[in-house]
Amino acid sequence: MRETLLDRAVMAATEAPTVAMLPHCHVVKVGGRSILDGGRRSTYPLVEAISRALARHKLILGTGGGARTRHVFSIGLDLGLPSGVLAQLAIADALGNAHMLGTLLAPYGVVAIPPEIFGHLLPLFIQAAPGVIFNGDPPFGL
Amino acid sequence: MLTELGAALVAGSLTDEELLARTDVPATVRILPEANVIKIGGQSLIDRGRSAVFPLLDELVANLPDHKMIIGTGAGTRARHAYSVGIDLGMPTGVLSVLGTFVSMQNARMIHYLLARHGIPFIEPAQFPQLPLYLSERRAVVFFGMPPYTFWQPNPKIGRIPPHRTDTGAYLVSEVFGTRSMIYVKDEDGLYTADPKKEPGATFIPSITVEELEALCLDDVVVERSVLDMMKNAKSSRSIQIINGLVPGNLTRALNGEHVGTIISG
Repeated sequence: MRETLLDRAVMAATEAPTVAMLPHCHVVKVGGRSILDGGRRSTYPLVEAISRALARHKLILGTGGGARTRHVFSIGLDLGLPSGVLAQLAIADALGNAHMLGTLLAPYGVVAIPPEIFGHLLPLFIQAAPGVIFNGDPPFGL
Repeated sequence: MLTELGAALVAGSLTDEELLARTDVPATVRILPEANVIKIGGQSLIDRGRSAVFPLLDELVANLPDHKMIIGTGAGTRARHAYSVGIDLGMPTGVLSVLGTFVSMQNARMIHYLLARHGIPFIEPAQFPQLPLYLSERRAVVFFGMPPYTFWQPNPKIGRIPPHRTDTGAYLVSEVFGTRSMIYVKDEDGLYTADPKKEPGATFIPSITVEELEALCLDDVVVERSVLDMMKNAKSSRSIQIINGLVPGNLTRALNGEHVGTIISG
């Protein structure tokens, strides 16, 4: 139990098969700048396509931050804030987009899961509902 | 056990106007009478980046020994983007309000990190019970100006933009805590008869009452209209001050009680 975790041979020995937790689910990331920032014109057709897909597939939907993330990065960089702060700030923009897309998908039973408890509740909601939505960012924050 | 009023409230209806009128006595306590609420504009200040923010924060820090400050932040350009996309997507006002809150929170966090070396905390609405402790220990806190109604934001009379935004959230803090000032730090000298960015001939108004301002029927005003509405029912915060945060020294003068900028009184 006193082994170093940097020894290459030790690391190679940790190759082992992993369990696939949710093998029947699809992860779909919806672009912030590419889709949501375009408004109704780009988003509504996609919402329609997702609604049809939800009838046959379990979907885990994530969203990007788009133009607002770029704006907050630009202000944050000008203020000299470190990368960890920029990461924390960007989460809010993707979350806002998840709120909007989640609103449009609510009629199809898509459940929004707050980032803090995403991992806890994903297995439950993906069984119970056709889909879930969250912001696409990893919760690295600072 | 109950006062006469208490008994009347228990037995009566909370829509009875005569009964409600009796609840105005005694006068409310001023919870934090030595504190100042300072709202830093989003579009007007923070969106300008370092060139505007750094000198303002330097001046703010210089005033910490003399003044306790509850510092709120506006939203700005990103909120306009979010509202515009959200409206196009058909989002109700309550959802737009969530988006505005996020932007104002981002600005508050950025200001907070820049003030962190002075031990000044960023506080969420849920942490407002600890506000007096932080003010007592560190002289200042940072909060996001958007009121935390989220989905419960009322609809505006016209259109769909959330009517109670960051000027309003900051004002409500000054009202409930009975602070000595409500200072809006923006990028114009104060209130004008029109937006000076759009109409160079606009006239500066150094001081005005809410009633007089409403009588002018201006197309645009420098502070959210809901603040003016709320001032009519204020128990504590009956005067607000709007100053130009791009001019060094204005914040200090306002904190010291000088008439710089525009004063609007209820």
